[in-house]
Amino acid sequence: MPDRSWHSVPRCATRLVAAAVRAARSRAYLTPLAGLALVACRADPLPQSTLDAAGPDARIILQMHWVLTAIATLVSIGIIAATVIALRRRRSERGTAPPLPLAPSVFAEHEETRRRTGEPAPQVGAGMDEPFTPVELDAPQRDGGVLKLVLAGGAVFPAVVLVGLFVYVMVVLAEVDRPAPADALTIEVTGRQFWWEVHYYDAAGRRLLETANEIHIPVGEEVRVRLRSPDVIHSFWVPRLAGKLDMIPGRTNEFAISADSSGVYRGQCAEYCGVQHAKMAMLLVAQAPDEFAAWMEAQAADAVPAADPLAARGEAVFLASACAACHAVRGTPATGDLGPDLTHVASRRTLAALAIPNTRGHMGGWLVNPQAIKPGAHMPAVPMTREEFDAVLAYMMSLR
Amino acid sequence: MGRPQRSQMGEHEVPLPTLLFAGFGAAVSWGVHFNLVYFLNTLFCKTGRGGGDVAVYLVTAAFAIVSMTAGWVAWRRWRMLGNASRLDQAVGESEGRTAILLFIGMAGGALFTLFIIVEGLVPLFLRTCSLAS
Amino acid sequence: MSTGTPSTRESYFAAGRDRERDFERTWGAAAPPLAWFKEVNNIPIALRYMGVAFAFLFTGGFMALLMRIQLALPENEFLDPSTYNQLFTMHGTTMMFLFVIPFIEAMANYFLPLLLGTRDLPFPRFTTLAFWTFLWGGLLVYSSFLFGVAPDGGWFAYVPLTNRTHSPGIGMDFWDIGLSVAEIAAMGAAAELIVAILRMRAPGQALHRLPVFAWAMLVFAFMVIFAFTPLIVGTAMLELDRKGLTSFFVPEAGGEPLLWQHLFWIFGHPEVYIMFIPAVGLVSQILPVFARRPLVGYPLVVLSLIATGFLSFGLWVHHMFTTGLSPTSMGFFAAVSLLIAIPTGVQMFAWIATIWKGRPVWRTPLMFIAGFLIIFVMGGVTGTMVGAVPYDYQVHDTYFVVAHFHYVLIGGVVFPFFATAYYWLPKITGRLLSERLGKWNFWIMFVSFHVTFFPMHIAGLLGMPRRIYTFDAGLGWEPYNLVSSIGAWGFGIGATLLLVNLVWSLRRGRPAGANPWNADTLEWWEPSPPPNAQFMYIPFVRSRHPLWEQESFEPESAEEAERMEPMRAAPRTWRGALLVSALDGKPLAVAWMPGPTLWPVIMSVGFLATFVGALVENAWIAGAGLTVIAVSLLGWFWPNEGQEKAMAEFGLASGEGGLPLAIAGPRSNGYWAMWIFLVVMSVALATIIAAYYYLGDDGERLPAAIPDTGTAMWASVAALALAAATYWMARAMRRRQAWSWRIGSAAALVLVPVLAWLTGRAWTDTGLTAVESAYASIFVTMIGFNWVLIAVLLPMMLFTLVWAIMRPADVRGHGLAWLTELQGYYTAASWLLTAAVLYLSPRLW
Repeated sequence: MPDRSWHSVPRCATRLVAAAVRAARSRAYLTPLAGLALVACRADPLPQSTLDAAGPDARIILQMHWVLTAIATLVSIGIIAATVIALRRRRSERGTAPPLPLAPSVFAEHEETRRRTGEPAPQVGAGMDEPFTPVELDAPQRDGGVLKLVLAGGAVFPAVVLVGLFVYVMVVLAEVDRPAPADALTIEVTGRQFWWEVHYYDAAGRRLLETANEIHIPVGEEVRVRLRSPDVIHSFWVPRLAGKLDMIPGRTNEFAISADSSGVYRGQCAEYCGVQHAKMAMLLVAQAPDEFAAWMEAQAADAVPAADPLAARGEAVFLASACAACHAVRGTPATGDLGPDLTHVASRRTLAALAIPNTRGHMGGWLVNPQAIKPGAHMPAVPMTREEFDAVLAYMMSLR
Repeated sequence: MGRPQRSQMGEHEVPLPTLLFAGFGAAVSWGVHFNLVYFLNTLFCKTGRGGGDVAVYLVTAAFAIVSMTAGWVAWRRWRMLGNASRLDQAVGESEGRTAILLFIGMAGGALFTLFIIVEGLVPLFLRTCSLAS
Repeated sequence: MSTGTPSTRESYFAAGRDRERDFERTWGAAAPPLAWFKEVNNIPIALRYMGVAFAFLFTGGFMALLMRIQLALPENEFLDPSTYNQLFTMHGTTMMFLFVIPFIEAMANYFLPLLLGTRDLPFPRFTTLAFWTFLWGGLLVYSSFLFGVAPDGGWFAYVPLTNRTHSPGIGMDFWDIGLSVAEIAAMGAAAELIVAILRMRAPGQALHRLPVFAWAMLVFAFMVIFAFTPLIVGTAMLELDRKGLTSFFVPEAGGEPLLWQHLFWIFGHPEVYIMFIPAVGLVSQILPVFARRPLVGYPLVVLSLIATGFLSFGLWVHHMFTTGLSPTSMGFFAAVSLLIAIPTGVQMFAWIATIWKGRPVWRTPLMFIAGFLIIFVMGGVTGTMVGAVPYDYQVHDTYFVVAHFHYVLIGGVVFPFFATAYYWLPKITGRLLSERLGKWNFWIMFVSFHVTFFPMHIAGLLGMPRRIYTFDAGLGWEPYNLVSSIGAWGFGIGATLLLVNLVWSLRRGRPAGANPWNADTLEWWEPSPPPNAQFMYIPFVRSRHPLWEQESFEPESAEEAERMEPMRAAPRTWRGALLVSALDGKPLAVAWMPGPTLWPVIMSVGFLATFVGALVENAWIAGAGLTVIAVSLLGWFWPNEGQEKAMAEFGLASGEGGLPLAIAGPRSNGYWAMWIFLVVMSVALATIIAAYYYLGDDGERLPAAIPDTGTAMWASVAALALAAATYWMARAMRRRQAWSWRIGSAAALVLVPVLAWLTGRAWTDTGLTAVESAYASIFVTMIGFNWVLIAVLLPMMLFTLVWAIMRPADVRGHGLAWLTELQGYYTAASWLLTAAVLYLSPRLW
């Protein structure tokens, strides 16, 4: 990845502290510090960081980030410095308070206080410093020069900088908002509470396959991402590749996305979408073209009928239970479309939109009590006997 | 310090409609322009007709002229006020409040004209309509 | 040291002890029984208002601290997801609607009359009503916690998440209805502030001598009118959707979720400036006192306030950059989002120049202002970054944005509020605060603020979205969140020091005296704390800095003194205030002001009952509430003794050159308020029309059959007839022709129900039910809007007729007729516009 030297320092710091926190939480106090530092400073990028750009859009925006940050920093430093210098330049001077007028009621009150307590009434400026600083009333007559400075610094200078910035923003926006090439692969992602439904279409609009929560794309190729939502507003965001775009019921949004190099990029829903908004994440896997083609072929295929007797029993239980009402397994009578397509569920890296890794243990836990793992998710616990559970679990793990 | 001078009333009176136009004409024309270009752009996109950008340029030119005129009127009246234009000096009520409104119109004229023109430039850089459907 | 030159006391000001005592009694505290509920004077009401708003600040802050505990560590289980979601929703809602806006209004209620040199706000009963409604509304929203159903849809309540399908519980109804209450209070305050600032000032306080805070509040009030009205329309639509009566935002019925975002943000972005502009006013006013010199570039700062007020309405779409709008429309909004930094830049430089050319005195208020300048610059520059559309694609809805708006809101609003608290509390309590504690207060808040919020920028850049109740380890967010959480608790403790300081000062603080800071504006002319009977002697203003420049506050000439004689420690038996011309501040007339009364608090209970009824969908409770409101309106406007005294006194005194009593017609405050009401209604109508075209902007959503014009035409004829009858009625009233007046009002009174019936037919003829489609919803809403106007017009016309029959010579009846006239024309015009939009415009396409 090009030019990443700039952020090695914040990354080291980040990771050092993170590792220390982890060590402290797991009570692994003996972890050698050297090891910690090594872990902290290893070069691999953070999975969801906009600063680790790995796609053309994200790279252009990252460039913009540095331009904007530089301007912002300079302006902030300039203004803060001016404020601090102004505050320290001159100090209050000795003087006497001018005789200031008071309302008749104040006057009466003071007279009364003096009569009652014999003490002098509070003076004008009681809250101010001693010695007293008189007001420079004639100052505005000498302000001509300062006013010019105020206009130059507060209006002319920002106007020039901001108009320049405006042009820059327009140019970059035109570049980022380009349409995908006509022959691009189309991936239709449907945001749902709280997972991602994914359909692949070829350039001719033929439907290729369906999967969930894990999107594969070929490296270096522009892919059209088409975004929809049937329930509430979600937002599709894979920070390392591109900016975000919302998924809005009743609308279809589209943009182009691509990855520079193969790898796994984390994405996350960026528009608050309900109770489990925090656990609506996804993986975007960029693969070399031949690997990608192999993946497509495998995913497009129907599920292989379960060979292992336990799994076959599981399939029967699955089809007979509530499971099949919500989930589809292509090649079987299960065609539910409320939950993710499970045809190749075992081939995915994670479950429940990245809430848990896809291992046998986690899968079992998820089947038994989804609400403990992701409270508020729409998947209920389907009542099963121990035997049925083992069978369904085996069936799930066989869906490669 | 000292007691402020009382000005000669009526000498520099600006009629209220002129004063309001000079003071707020630029701001209001920015507001109208802004909504109009946004509306026109949406309209042209929805109907699928071309020429949305030309419409934006035309509207921009018209409102930039209105805004500049307001600023110019304010500037002329301000010059006619002469001494009273030194705002931070104590001046008579009528002159002072006229002066500050004219000043607002004058500087506002420059500011809002800048806004109108910059907004009018947007179609130079960008596609007019979105990919969304 | 000076306590005023004796001559001031002896000449113009001495009206005699008897008269002064009468005056003080008239303006004094309400008499028992139920004195506490009868109070309408701005000072006690504003104190309660500030207290309640401040309590909400600490409640909202405490919720933030709970959230920070949850986010301190990854995968933390301190809070469950739904509790967390309720907390962030209520944190935002509380801070925006129950703290900042009410607090600004409360501060303005207390200090604007003092700054303007007037005795009270123009509509004291309305202020009181706004306070009570706000209190009930706030408690109503918070009561949802008791039932465990606090709203959890986020403070901007995006549909469809918040509609009845996806948020079936009562939580979002609490949010929606509670908000309506805050909205009513804010709108009322806005009308009040406009009239106060334009009409009720010290003589001689022409526009160029207005304190900057008054300018800021004027801009604030206009912005509230233009921004809150779309929000009221939007929340009403949302609530109707939630009750299953309409389908504005239901995509399946052709509704548009994005319409809600437009309506919300056209309120929401100006809202940010609505909060910031008063802070600008405060800073511009406090800073010069501690820099010991007048503000540099006063007219530039005023221009910046006005320009910001306008420009803030051209930003709202930058909250929607990621919704897939057309690039060109985003370009327009990006331009304003970037360039709006110019007016703010002018203000910054004016402040810095003021310090530069002045001799800063290090007192706590100045420290908070310095903190404000530093933090606000940092929030401002990130704001410019967020305005850059492609950059927003990345940082939108992340912790970068969370960091940005907390820099802007805490830096730009809370720090100026703290500066103000240290500046004005001595006026309120009459005692100085501890400087030492104040410095601790500042430094703890300043340092822990950055510790809390700076790391959030980085967390956001590392990909952390906002509104997540937890996050996975290993994404690199852990250290930033941990640091933020530690800082947040420091900030909480720092903020609490203000309360500690307040308690300390009440017990041990030195007496402040009338003017502890040797400041320049009129509030320091009055004693600390100021009496209810403020400005017994009305000061004559001849400078922008009266207390610095003026040696005397007496009238300049004998004629002026003569003219003001009826206002010198007078009127004695009723509350009277001076009205001045809007531009020049020349004395024009005297306004009658109401004394203590129970009606505002009764009416607020009516509002509460109505809202609770709507909330639990119980028609009896709502009906009872509406009845209470109707009865209290009657009691409110019932002719009272004070007015008669005023009329008797001024009916004789207002000869040539004297001050007339302004109770009816264009000179009265009520007439100005009526105009503001009509502006509000116009903004609402414009919002509804915009929504109509927005929902119909798509070929598929246009009405299948264009509605038949038959009945609508007859309704339009009725509307024109109504306008004509109204004109006849009002002309006769002005010409003192009792019989024509009676006949005109009677004719108009008959036409009002006719119009209502015909417009109703215009709807039923179409056979549309509101819920069937978004088009039907907006169609019915537009017609329904006219029924709201008619519902206001009907009782007005009725009572105009009653006055005309019973007491045609009474000027109060004339006053009502003046207002009814406006409402009559407006109702007719509104129907004609409605008919043109609904029936004619579809034929043009």
